[in-house]
Formats: sequence, structure tokens, C-alpha cells
Amino acid sequence: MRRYSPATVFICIVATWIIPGAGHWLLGRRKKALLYAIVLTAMFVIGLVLAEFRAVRSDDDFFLYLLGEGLYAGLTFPTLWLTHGLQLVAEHPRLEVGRLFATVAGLMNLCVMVDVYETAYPRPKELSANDGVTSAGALAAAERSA
Amino acid sequence: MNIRYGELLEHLGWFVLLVLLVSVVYNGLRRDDVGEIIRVGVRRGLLFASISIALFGVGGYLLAAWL
Repeated sequence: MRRYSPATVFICIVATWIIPGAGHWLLGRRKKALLYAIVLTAMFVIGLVLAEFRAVRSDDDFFLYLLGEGLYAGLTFPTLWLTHGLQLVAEHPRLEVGRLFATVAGLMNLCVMVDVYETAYPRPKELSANDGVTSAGALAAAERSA
Repeated sequence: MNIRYGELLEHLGWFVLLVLLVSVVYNGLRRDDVGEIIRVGVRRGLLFASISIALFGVGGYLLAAWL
């Protein structure tokens, strides 16, 4: 199994923070990287469109949402910069739904960052009944052999 | 009881879409086969959405009717 240095894994996690799936791409999981990039970007863009591009804001009322959205940095911070002039003057009926989509996209990107770490440093598989031996059976066999 | 069915259906649609997208991402963790990720994610997402709508939708309707 290939071992990755901590610096490589750190770079992959930062890359994922900016673009979902970039870390998996760097680790060689190309198809999975594309899936994450497409799904999370779609989720974020749907949120932006629903909220009429007012989902990402730094006002006090929006700050907690911004913390979640900020976990997808590659879209959040450019959007914040590009849309900071848009005002909440009219009624925006889908503002809450849009904020929800964008925030959940950011939060799910945190899961993807964790998955990058687990891809680089996989946990050992647990022994289960599906492996052909039960843990009790394995214990009995170990006792017999001793 | 005054129910705006158009808005209700629209929000149900957004809810199902959000659950499906989240489910696909979540079920991709610790899996490598993209086909399996999508299959499992969509199946579990639809199951979760159906149960949620049944519980909270029907329960909420009955509660609103009772109140």
C-alpha cells in the first residue's frame, strides 16, 4: 500500500477545501473526485440561484451560515466578493432554502476532507461475521493453536 | 386549514433533492466504486426522504388539523 507523507495529505486537504474532490484527484481517485466536485458544486450553485445570489453574506444574521459555506472556499469567497453589493430590499421567497443548500454543500465538503485523510491513511478493516469467521470462532481457533 | 399546495410541493421537491445529494456524498465516504456510491446513495436517500415525509408530513398535518 502506498504511504503518503503528512505534507502531501495536508496539501490534499487544503486543495479539497478550495475545490471539492481536488484532494481525491491528487491521491489518484479520479472518478470519485469528479463525483464530489459535480455534486457539491451543483448543490452550492442551486443554493445561490434559489437565493437570487444572496446566499453568501457577511452580515451578522448570516454569519453562522457563512461559517458553513466557508468550508467550500473556492466558491464562497469569490461569491462573497462578487455579490457583496446586492441588497436584501425586496422579498426573496427562496432565500432560506438557498442558504440551506449552500451551507450544506460547505458542511458536506468537511466530510469530503475527512475522507481524503481516510483515503491516505485507511483504517484497518474490522473483523466481522461477513469475513467468514466470527470473532468468537477466531478466538477459539487462536486458543486451540496456543 | 389553508394549505398552499404549490409551495408545499415545491419545498418537498427541494427537500428530496437536498437529501439525495447529501446521501450520495455521505455514502461515498470509505467507498471507491462510483457506481456503487450513486446506487447506494440514491437508494438510502429515497428511503430517508420517504420516511421523513411520512413521519413529519403526515404527523404535522394531523397535528395542524387537531390544533
